[in-house]
Amino acid sequence: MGTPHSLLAAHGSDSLLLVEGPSDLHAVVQLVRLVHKAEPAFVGFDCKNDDGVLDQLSLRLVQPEPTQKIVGLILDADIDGSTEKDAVQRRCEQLKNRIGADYDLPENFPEEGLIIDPRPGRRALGTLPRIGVWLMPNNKAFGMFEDLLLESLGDHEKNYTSSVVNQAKTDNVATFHPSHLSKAVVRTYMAWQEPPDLPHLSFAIRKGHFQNIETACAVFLDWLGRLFIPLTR
Amino acid sequence: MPLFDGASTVSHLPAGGFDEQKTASLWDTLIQGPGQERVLDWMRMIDGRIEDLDYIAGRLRSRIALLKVKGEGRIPLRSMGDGLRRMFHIGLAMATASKGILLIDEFENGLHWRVQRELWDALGKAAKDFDVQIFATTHSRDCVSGFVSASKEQDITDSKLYRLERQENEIYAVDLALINVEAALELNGEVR
Repeated sequence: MGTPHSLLAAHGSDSLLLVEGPSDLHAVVQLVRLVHKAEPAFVGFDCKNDDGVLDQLSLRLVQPEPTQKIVGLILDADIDGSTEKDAVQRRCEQLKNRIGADYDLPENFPEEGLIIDPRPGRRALGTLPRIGVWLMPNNKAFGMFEDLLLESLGDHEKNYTSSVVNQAKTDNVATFHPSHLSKAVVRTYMAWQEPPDLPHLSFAIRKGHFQNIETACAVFLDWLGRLFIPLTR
Repeated sequence: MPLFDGASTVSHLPAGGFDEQKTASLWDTLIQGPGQERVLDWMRMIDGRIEDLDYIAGRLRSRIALLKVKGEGRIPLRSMGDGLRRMFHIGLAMATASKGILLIDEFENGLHWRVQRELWDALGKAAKDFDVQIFATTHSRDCVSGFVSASKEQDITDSKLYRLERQENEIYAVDLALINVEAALELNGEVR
């Protein structure tokens, strides 16, 4: 990786992107490289899981002299026990608990992704960061990054792979949790391409296996570009 | 959380504690009711061997606090540690602040970090029992940590944490959400 996405770099950078895991981190960085033909200007940080993302945000809100000017969060709208209907709502409540004292959250989560500045005049020592939040896959549906990638496949590829994976599930060959269906479909599709043993989503993105990725991720990329100015360096 | 709303008394425990005379007179006011026993309970958080406390006359009309310690007999309070003395003062201030406000300066003075958590638990309960609103200042990370844990565990919804920030001649009280402070402490971040 050209950019050092380490803890040290994360603490020092003024533009930080917090993500739930290494797979999402490298995939987003690769997506930016693919589309913009340049290195991202933000430092991405793998927070291990969704609570990790929220806790890293908390840390940056209470430290006396905030280092970051911009903090972006990518969270999956797939909280344990949530339903299709309330996943986004529950993420909003989690956010409100953390940032509600300093930021005015909109009543409805914006479908184009949230970008929000702190209320003025809250601090003497430093300014709180601008915060951006994207709820995978599209700020309204239950899901994760793989759901966005699924939309990046051609209709034929998507439908064919989905039907095979569903068949494997029906025939008890597949043991994955039902909530991970899109992960299973994306990884199955990756296993059918050359080379079939690509370990990471980011490699498949670089290889161009997701034919319509620029279109499918257009709103997401637009959010990244509006949040991090400039997006690349 | 209204400030000074209907409060009849404001007690103040300075950073250096009360002087001997003030301590003795506060102890006297607790002669009736469960106050003295409650103060002793707090002191037992630091030293479980404490059985009782009495004042005796010293020189020049001064009065000396004597502890009855299991297995050791009577020992002057001042020859015990700073933590015990601090706890005695906090207990007295609390028990005599009923239906009022208690101001504690430099909460952590003399207190071992492990005791701070227990003390916040006790103060949380006592604040409800005695109907006291507590304002405490601290520079200690352990004190903040103990406060956050106690607030969470006891489900105290009306506890708040502010950081005072100075800019030229202005002082800002920055309201820090407990959930954020808890996460930051967990990640070894700075909150002070």
